[in-house]
Amino acid sequence: MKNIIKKTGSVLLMALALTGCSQFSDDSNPYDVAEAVKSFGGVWKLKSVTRNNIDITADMDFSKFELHMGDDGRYHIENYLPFVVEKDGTWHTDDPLYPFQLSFLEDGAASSVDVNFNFPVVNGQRSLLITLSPGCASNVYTYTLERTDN
Amino acid sequence: MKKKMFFKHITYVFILATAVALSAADCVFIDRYDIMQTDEEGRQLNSVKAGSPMTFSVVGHLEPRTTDNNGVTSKLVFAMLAPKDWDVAHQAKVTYKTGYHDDPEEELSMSVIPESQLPKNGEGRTWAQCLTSDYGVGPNVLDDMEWIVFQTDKTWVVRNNEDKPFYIFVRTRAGQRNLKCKLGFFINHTDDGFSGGTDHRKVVFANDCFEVTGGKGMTIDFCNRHFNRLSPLTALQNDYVTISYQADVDPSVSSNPLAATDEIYLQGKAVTVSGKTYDAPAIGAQTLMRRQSNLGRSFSLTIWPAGFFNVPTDEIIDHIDYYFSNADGSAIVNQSTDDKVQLGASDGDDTPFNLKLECE
Repeated sequence: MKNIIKKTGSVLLMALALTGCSQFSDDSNPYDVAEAVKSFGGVWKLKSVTRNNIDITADMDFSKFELHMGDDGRYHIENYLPFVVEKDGTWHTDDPLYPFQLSFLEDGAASSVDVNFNFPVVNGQRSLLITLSPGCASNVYTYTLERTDN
Repeated sequence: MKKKMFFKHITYVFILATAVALSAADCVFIDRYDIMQTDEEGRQLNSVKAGSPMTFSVVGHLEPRTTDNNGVTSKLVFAMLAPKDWDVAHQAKVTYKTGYHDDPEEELSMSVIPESQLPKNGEGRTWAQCLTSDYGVGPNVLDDMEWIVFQTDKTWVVRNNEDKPFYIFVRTRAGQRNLKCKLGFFINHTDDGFSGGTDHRKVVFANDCFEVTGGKGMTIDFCNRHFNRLSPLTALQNDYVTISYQADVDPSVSSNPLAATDEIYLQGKAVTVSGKTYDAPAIGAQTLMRRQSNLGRSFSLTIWPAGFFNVPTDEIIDHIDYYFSNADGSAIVNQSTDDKVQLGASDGDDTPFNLKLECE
């Protein structure tokens, strides 16, 4: 009986000691793959453009447009074409792991422009799909952007 | 002997096929339609003022041929092809009268079919998608039209040989844009649900153009092909606008000076709301229009107006005046050229095509 009390006591003590030192414990499941932080940094170029669901990529030269997204949270656009923002500014996502929204804030602007986007993997590369209406609301465009290597 | 057996089999197959065809033949018919509107002076016109109320009607009948003693249980489906500018889905009140109802004079209601309710034989497409893929925009030459699909709120049981008429009324309102188009009407029923063949479904397009006048902008002509064509029909300076020259509208060089030219350039100017003008780039690579295919004679150029005319970002383009030209500018096609072909005459020779930049 004494033995049992002793044993129980030591187990309880150990448990206490363990919880007291939780900073040393490893809670993660070693078989679990952590969701990667989605990186948007880099230079994005237009791969395809649709207007009201019709592909117009071949109808105009979209190849020079470049969206530079810096890892420092700043962006700028070269060879501007209609986009959700025009002037330089800062960008951020709503969630580093499961982002649904990209926000662009032009320098000096009072509020940011938030865009919903898709981030599919195509041929092993992340594509950025943004839907926008820079002109009439009835005209809906989809920009598919691809990151360049530089 | 073998031959005899073959014929016997063929006869069976034939009789069976006929029986199946007969049992399934619940035919629907459109007998007539009426697009004429009565104006304030009591005149019958195929035109209305922008924003005015309008009533269209379609009369048809059913000839149900079914071997099922319980008859066919179904809802009547009605669709109308109309300009998107009219927003028929939200503006229209659609009713019908039918001989199948106890009171054949009572007007009963129809409602827009929700997108989630797919036609039984539509292969996963919506009603509007089925109609668009089978009939497009009918005889109209521009795309900005839509099929709006309604069904009777009441489900009907229709028995064999009970041939009865139906009368459909669409009470709606014209949009604000000036336009001319050919309206279309379609009849089917939910139990058939856009199956193959034409026994169960009928479509009819009005012969006459229906016109909206006294509204916004230049008249958009869905009825006739013109030398110029725009896509989309409404745009602002930060849209991408495709401007086309349709040379085959008139292949004669006497009335179409660019009929035999293979290098076509877009020329013109943007006029801002403050009255400043910005010229299109000179004749060259930037303004060369792309031939759509080697077979047709249609040339297009897609532009971002603000960039193409190099308009500063703080200025707003009110409209664009444009025309088509050959390489040395000695032959052009403009609104005056088009008017001479379409109307037989024009005011002068140098009116450019006009594109007003505004939304609906």
